[in-house]
Amino acid sequence: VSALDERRSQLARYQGSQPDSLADVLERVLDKGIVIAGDIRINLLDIELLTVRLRLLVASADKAKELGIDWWERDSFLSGGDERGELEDRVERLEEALRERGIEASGDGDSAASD
Amino acid sequence: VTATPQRATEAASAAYVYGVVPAGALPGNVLADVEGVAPGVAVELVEHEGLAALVSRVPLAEFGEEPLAERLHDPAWLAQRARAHGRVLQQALAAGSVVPFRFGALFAGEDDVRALLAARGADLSEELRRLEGRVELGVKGFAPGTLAGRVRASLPEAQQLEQELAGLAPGRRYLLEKQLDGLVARETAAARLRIAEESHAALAAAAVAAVANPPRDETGAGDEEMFLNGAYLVGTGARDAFEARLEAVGARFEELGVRYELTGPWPPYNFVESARP
Repeated sequence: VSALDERRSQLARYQGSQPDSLADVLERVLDKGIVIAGDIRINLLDIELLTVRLRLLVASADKAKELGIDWWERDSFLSGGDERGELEDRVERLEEALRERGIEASGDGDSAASD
Repeated sequence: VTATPQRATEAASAAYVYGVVPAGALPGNVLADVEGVAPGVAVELVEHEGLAALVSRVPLAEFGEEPLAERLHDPAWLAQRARAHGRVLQQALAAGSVVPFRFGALFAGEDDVRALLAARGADLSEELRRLEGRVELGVKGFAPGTLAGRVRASLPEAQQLEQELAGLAPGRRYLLEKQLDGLVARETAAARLRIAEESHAALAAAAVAAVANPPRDETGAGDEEMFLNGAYLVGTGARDAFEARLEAVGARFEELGVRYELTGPWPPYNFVESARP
């Protein structure tokens, strides 16, 4: 077993135990690390302002959902979209079945009345 | 300013740099499956004199100065791109030490990235040596909303005020209630600070270096409040000892309902020298 393999298994132990929260990632990627001024200038103030906004959003997952930036949750439930599709299909099928029954029921009612 | 779209058509991409690793440290397949900061772009290594920059070619239509300025008003865009940046560095960390750059290091082309490695080579190599075999661990501490009640119950002064309240006329009573609330709020904040300082000191003693970041305004479970947001640089061989220390800290404050979360290992974002443009 190479040192690399060993290191990987050590990392896996941690990574499996704790899903990193988006807030943790944002704090590090946007606020820490070495600042390198490249050829394309980024307005750091813009980033800072947006980071503050993001943090407020992330602080409340419900709020984030409201604004449609809850994709990181869907990330971990990749079937989320499909699930919703399935649910919609199911609701449609149920509604259709109900409509059919409704018609049948009224038909039964009519026949019951005529009986 | 008007020249930017023109330039965008001339050179349709820029070189986005995530960070730096020692040359030859990353087996090629480590980066094969990881997506860069733009959808579908690969991550490659640009090497120069013992250093390798982690680089993606990103479209100027998205990362050019003007489009970027526009996108920096879109939280969902930034969140996605920041997360991608983090994933790439996480992947690199799995194979060895890495110096993480902050989001947004953009160069005209690979030659400019090599020029950066040449200009900053000595610093970057030094950082890599210092960080070899070390990772960043995060520890967040949360205090329950019930802490205020405990503090109130444990303060003789608060107890005394409460007793005095009983027999008072409404006007005087209101003032005394205000006084009591203020007292409890101050003492609760002080208690949280004491727990934070003690926790951080204990954890820092089990680490090579430590940073206490401001607790975030992030709600934990229920009405918990974050009181500790620490980052700790820990040698890979000392991780068990660090975890044991965290457990001891947790046990110490357990009866107060205080809870800790361990995150990482992270690339050492909190332990590289930032700034120096």
